[in-house]
Amino acid sequence: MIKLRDSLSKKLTAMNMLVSGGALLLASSAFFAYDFITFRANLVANTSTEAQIIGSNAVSPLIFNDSKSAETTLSALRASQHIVYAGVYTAKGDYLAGYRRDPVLQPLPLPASILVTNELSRFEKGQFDLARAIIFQGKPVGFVYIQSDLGAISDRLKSYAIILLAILAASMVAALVLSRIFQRAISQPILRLADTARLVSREQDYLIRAPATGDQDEVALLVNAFNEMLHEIQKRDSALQESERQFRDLADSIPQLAWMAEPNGNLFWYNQRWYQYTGSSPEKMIGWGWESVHDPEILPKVRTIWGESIRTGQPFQMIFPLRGSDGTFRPFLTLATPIRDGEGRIVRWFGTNTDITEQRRSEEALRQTEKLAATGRLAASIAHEINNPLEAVTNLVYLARLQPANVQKYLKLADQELDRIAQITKNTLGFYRDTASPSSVDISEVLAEVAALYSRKIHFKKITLQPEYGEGIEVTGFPGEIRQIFANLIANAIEAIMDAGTIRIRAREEQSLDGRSSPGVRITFLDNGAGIAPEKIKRIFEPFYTTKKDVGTGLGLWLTLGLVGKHGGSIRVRSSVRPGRTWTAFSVFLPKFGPAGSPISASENSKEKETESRPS
Amino acid sequence: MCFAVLTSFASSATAQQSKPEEYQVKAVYLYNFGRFIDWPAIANKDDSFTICVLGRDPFGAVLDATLAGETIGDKKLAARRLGSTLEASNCRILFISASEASRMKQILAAVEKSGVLTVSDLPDFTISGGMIQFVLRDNKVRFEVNLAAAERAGLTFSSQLLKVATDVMR
Repeated sequence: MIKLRDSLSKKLTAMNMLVSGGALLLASSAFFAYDFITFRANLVANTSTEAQIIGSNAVSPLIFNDSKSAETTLSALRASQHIVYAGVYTAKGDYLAGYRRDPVLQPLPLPASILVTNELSRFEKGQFDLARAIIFQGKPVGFVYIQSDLGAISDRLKSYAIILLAILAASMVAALVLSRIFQRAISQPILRLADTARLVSREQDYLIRAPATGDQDEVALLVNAFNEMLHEIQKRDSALQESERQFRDLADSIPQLAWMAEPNGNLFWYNQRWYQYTGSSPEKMIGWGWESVHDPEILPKVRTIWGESIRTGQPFQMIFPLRGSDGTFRPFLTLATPIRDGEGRIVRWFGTNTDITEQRRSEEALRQTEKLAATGRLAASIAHEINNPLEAVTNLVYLARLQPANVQKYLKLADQELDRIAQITKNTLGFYRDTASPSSVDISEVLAEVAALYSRKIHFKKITLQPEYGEGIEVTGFPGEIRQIFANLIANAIEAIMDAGTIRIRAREEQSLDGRSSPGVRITFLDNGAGIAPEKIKRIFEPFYTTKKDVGTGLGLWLTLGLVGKHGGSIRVRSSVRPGRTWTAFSVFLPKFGPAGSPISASENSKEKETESRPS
Repeated sequence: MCFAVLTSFASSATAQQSKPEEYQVKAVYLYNFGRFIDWPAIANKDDSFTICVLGRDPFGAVLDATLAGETIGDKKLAARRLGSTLEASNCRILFISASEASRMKQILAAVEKSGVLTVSDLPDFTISGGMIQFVLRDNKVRFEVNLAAAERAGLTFSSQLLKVATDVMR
């Protein structure tokens, strides 16, 4: 916290100092550069003037070979501190007299080039050399040679540096003081804003507001924008909380168990029902903790299917048991749907587990109801069927009493009638006496039995039954249930025909059409009855749906579908209500080798998947 | 050219003092005096600048060789040998030879007002009213000046000349 405050202040101060220091340095450098150049020009001009004066004063000493007088002239240069050496030379270049600032120095030889050029002016090795010819009355009489050091320049540089340092130091102090003052105006509101931001993020309290600066500058704008942002966040936050609360309420109030998973399959949220049912805690359930409430025998299959869904993104659907807090398992229908973002990527999975115990129970109750109804119908049917032979026997007994001579003949006939009764009874009993395990079932035999059961009705309605199948077609299954499937479908066909008609029954071996290519038998019941309207055909497999209000329970086809599913088969219906050409065809496919796996679980799945209804 | 001669001589003069070299230096000095002195306008008698020698000539050919081709202003230099002071009126510079020691005062009096620069190496020449007197100092040829005598004759000496003189009488 202190650190940030320091850094902003420091930056401002450093900036002030850098700006003022830099400007000063730049200005001083410019002054110095100007002075340096000017100084050199002055040095050249001054030295040139001095050479001129020395030269004109050295004319007579040169002509009259008077080195003493020349020295006297040269000694005047003592006043010019920068001159290290000055010499007067004859026209031939011989030394006549000289001046040396440092007396221990030896006289310097005249630079040879001056004899040719008559003029020399050069900066070299930190000194300035100047030489010129001395002209008297148009003729050269000798040379003067002056050497100046640049000590003056470096002296000047030093004093400049000292002045500059002093000014810089003073400026820094001034900048420091000024930045302290201006900081209040600039950095203080920003620092207060930063404090507010820190407080907000630490307390997670979006009701806090940054104090107004009272100015009209950008910082004030920033403070306002920040406060507005806080307000917006607060609004969204509460909206989000409200939405979240609504979602939780909804999720906790639905009867299902619900959960959410990450795209990788990790479950990260469960609703309260889940915890209530399993008696578990969020800590135990997070990730893959849900596996602990599964039946260990079914769990591998659950893992496989769940893994497959996560991999492919296909919705998950399965029925499996979950252990409740009381330790007992109840069956749940589980559905999970991937939730995708705008680009189609899965962001999470949303799943529900629906307890289907009650559904199972009511389905079972329905089955029992239909069985009872069927029993009733059977009783009526038996009564019908045995009524005729019984009447015949009654008549025959009566006739035998009247005509004792023909007793043998009547008894024989009565025997036949009683055999018929026995046969009917036997067949009827076969319906409900079922084996516990699948066995080989002869399709033609079962069809014949069912046909025999309905022979009276068929005869009464003037229906022609056309069997179109050979003998020896067999499937593995439960004979009683297969018989009931056929009985239901034939009964429906008979019901569909009002007066006179044909029922064609076809049975042949073929491969299943669902892609698995397993062998099986397809049995088709085709009648030219009233037909089923397209809007009705969709609903005929629903329980309690019936078109025969007075006679039907509405459970026949529902049960048939269940039984077909139990055998791992499928059922298909097509129908036409075109006037004059009405017909209905129910087609049942039964696998050759019976239902795969557990008969119970298979029936649950196949009912959903393999039912096919196709109105024409 | 003559400076080359002068300087080479000047540097060697100190080493070996001999009469001809001494008079060569004096010949050059004689001519150079003319360059530092202004003569009155009336003294411009003819087109040449004449240096005269009175008495026995100690220079010989050296003087003529020194003056050959040289000018002062726009006037050509010339050397003349005089038999008497009567001929001195056309001279700018009059060198009075040592042979004239006995007649020095009469000669000086005779040319006193004729605007002629009088030069000699006779002792007491300047004290006696002569203008420039050659002297030897440290084996070098130097000279003394009697400025008052020069002013009486209307001649103006350059301060440059006075600066190199060993003694100036005013």
